[in-house]
Amino acid sequence: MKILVTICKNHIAPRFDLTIEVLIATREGKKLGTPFRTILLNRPSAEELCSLIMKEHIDTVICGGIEEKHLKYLSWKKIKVIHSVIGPYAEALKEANDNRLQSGVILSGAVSR
Amino acid sequence: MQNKGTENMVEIDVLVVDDEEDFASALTARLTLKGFNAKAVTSGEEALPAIANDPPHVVVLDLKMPDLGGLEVLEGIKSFAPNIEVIILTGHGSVANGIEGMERGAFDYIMKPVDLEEIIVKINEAYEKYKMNISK
Repeated sequence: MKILVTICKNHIAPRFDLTIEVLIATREGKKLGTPFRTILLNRPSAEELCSLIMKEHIDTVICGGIEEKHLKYLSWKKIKVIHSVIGPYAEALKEANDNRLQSGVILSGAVSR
Repeated sequence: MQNKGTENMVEIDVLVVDDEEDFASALTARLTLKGFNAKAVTSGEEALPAIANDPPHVVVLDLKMPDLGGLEVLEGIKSFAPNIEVIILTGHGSVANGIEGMERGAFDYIMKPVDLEEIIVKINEAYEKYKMNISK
């Protein structure tokens, strides 16, 4: 299973449409395979990001705020979107791997930002 | 010497030239975290004076820029600093331009979106070629 996280430095990018960096992790069994891949987009663009998500056959997207039309598009493409997440991406990935991550959550590491 | 994480022993000087400021700053930040001495300029016109003043080992150069295009910048670099290796960045559908860049002396070209590990491998390879260039 492939998980894509929109990132900004060590945190989840606050907005999907302004994301320039993403991290792709692959879940192998119950563990996340390492190293993670970091991809830099040409420019912040929700359309290009959606295109990358499709091209990479992503199963789950973890992101911050996302416009409804992009959320609907990805959901229509049967991609699970865990959105409005605030905090460090490493913590989000760990929570997602443990099936505990939910939309709208503020992770404990967010306060130390 | 390879730049892997922070255990590198030689700092490789990299100049990123890209008019997409967000991309240039994100790439520079990631390369710095990986142990490179990375800087960025956001236009072709800025690139040549920056390279003349502080020559890097490797230039990562976007092809499509509004003022002075990547191919012109590449020609400029090769005219006064032929040892500097240049990696070209191209968007989708710009393969022909990437190949043209290699014909004009670029080390290699990479398609955007850019996989960070891929570009790090290319920069390290380009640096090895730079070292061979200057030892001749």
